[in-house]
Amino acid sequence: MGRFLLKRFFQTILILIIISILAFSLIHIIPGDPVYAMLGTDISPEYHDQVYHSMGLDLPLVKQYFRWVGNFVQGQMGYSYHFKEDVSTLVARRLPPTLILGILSAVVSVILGLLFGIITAVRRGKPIDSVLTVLANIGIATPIFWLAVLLVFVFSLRLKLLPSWGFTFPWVDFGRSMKQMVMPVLCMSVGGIASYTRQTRSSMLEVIGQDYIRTARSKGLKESQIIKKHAVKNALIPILTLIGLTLRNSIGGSAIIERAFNISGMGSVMVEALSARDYVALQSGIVFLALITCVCNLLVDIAYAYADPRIRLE
Amino acid sequence: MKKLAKALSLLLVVAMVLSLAACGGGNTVPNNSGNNNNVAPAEPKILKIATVKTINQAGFPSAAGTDQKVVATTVLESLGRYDDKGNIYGFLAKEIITKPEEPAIVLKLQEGVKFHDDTPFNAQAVCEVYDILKENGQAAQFANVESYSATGEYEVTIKLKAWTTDAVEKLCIGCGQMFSPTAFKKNGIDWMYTHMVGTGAFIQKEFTIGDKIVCEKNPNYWQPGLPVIDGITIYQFDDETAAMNALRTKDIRLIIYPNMQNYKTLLGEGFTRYGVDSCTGIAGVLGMFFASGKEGQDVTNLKVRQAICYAVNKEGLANAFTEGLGVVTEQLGVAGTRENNPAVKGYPYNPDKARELLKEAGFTADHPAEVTLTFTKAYEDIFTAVQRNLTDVGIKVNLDITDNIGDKITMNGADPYVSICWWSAPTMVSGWFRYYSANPFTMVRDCLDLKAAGVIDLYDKIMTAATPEEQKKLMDELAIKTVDELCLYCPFYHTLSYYIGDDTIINSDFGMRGNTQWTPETVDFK
Repeated sequence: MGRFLLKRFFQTILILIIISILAFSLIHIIPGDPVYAMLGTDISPEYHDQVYHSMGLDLPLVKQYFRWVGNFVQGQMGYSYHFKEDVSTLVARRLPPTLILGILSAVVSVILGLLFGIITAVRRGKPIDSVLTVLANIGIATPIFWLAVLLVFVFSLRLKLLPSWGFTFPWVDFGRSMKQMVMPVLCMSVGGIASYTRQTRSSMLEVIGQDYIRTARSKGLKESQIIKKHAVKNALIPILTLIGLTLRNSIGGSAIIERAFNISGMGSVMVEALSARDYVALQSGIVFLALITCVCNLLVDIAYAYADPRIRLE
Repeated sequence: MKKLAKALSLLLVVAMVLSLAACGGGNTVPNNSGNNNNVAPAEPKILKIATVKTINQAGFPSAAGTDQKVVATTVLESLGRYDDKGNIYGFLAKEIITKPEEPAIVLKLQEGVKFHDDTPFNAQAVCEVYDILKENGQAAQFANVESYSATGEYEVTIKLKAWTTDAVEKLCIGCGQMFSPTAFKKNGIDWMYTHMVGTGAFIQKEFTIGDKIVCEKNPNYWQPGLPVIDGITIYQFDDETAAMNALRTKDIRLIIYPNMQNYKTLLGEGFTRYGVDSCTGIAGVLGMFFASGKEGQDVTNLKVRQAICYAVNKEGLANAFTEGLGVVTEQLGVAGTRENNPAVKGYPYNPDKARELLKEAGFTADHPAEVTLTFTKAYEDIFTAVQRNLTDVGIKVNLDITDNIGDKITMNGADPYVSICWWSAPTMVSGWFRYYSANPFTMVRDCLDLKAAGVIDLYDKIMTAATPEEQKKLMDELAIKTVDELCLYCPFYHTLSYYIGDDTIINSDFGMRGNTQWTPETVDFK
């Protein structure tokens, strides 16, 4: 197990190094002078030189990279000329809403998706299976921006139950925070719930048809016990892989939801940095999201190995 | 695994229960009304505004664009302001004394005013602000300034190299927005971009780019009794639909410049339009300037220029491209401003008249007049429509899409131009000839010798007029000359300034550039 984890850890480090090189290259790939590209050509030559020097662009390329990585590791991600603050401060302020929404929606997706998946598999061919399967298909096919518009129309404009925008941390105002998070989390979860439902259903059906389930039945065990003790545990193994992806997708793909509900999160920072050619913020944002993805994948690998002894033995 | 699933299920159930509990209160949108009798202590009256553009700096060295101006004027005040007729009156400089004969301007400042960092606003502060602005990108505004000095604790004397009528505008409004020079010296230029330290009715408390700008009431504001609300918060919305929804739920009270389609939708839903049409610098005109960079162009012929003006269906363009919100204009000074001359006849849409003029000029179907429309990509649709208008009357039209109109103008006629798309603040006469004054003969070249036609001379007289009355008379003359006599440009329409909101701040002067619109007298947080 230790060796397996070590191997996965080094793989993660390698991936991060590759991504950091790609992100670092961003500023050098763009045509022309990166400072003029970021700040426009109206700036004075003195200011240009000052920014050029402060970004370390006058250093050799390799030195620039190691300086950038070194600073990044120490939490110094550079200064964003668009957001006019240190990127580390920007990330520290804008990442938490995205993380909270991402984690919450991942939790909701996993729990409801698994629940619905198990129900549809156990009740295969029954009305509840049909209903949930249809709903899952609808959930997969529903664009989240459209769902966001629909939810706002119903719950904010018509029923006046929920605020249509904004984000408040739960420790600042719990009630308001919950109200504000219901619709974004729902939007971000729908796709996940649908995917998990379908995946869990097919995985469960496969497991239910296995010999050891038949053996359990022949031993006279109750159906509920068979499902709980034998089927679910084994059916969940392939689902674990999806969990890491869900979290990554929730965090990395939060831009649409942040925009629809006007939440100041990391997704909107990335979009704005891109449109404002704020390469410093973009570089750090890319590496940060890559880091989160890698950590998620690593955790999933660990969980996978924990759940399936075959992985550990391999 | 089982334990984890149980824990997560429990967490979800708790979260759902709490969510439902939180949703149970009916209208959950924060209500700023303060007229709810059940709530004992009145909620602070915070005016919440949405901007749909990223404001990543405000006020320093000067506010550019409507959104920045709205933010800046919340905190910063200027030496002078425009009244609703476009005249400048003294504000932080309670008196602006012009002395064209010297030439000089004397500013008598309000006494007892303090910046938000508690440093005094006085003559020395004004001079220091001017120093800072000169060194930070505003030197051109001071090109005509010989010197400025504090001639008393609350008196500044500005000596000019030559008298120009736009000097007061440049020095009291353009560079007249007062920020604390002490704050600048202490914190530096980068800090100043997002930290406004002024004398205004509201004090900036937070400026988070991409999120919000929070301003609180200045308890020591120099105008007694003001402001009447407790604060202003300006939220940035990346998505206009989200801003519109927030307005509908009364979570915000106003949207600054949504796109015209959304504006019209909200207007149709009963929201109120704010904005001052006749205020200098507010409206913008879209149109064409005639110019030619090559000899022998057809637009050198006055009748061709007039035919073009008659051929353009301005009403149709306004309806098609402004959701019906544009107002057709025949001159650059829009109706209601002092630059407007009602006596200008202009060229109302008349294709038959256009054909007649072309015939008189000697152009036929076999030998049509030929023009090239030069514009930037953003205006492609509108100039394609103009092309259709001109083709209908028998003019051959070439389209020339460019990245930079300015480069084309100053390239000394490398390409033939017959029109320039120009979006501007037309009510400032100094702006009318922005391009002409920079390089007057290059721009029009063979179209017309502006000097010989007396346009440059008239323009110079306007810019050096000693009194507003004299200036007005000359401006009226210039409008007649450039439109009816010489047909130098072909304006299409001007758009109204527009902000849209509920009736929270009705009659508050909101939208007047340079006004402290944040001291509304009729705030009603219904």
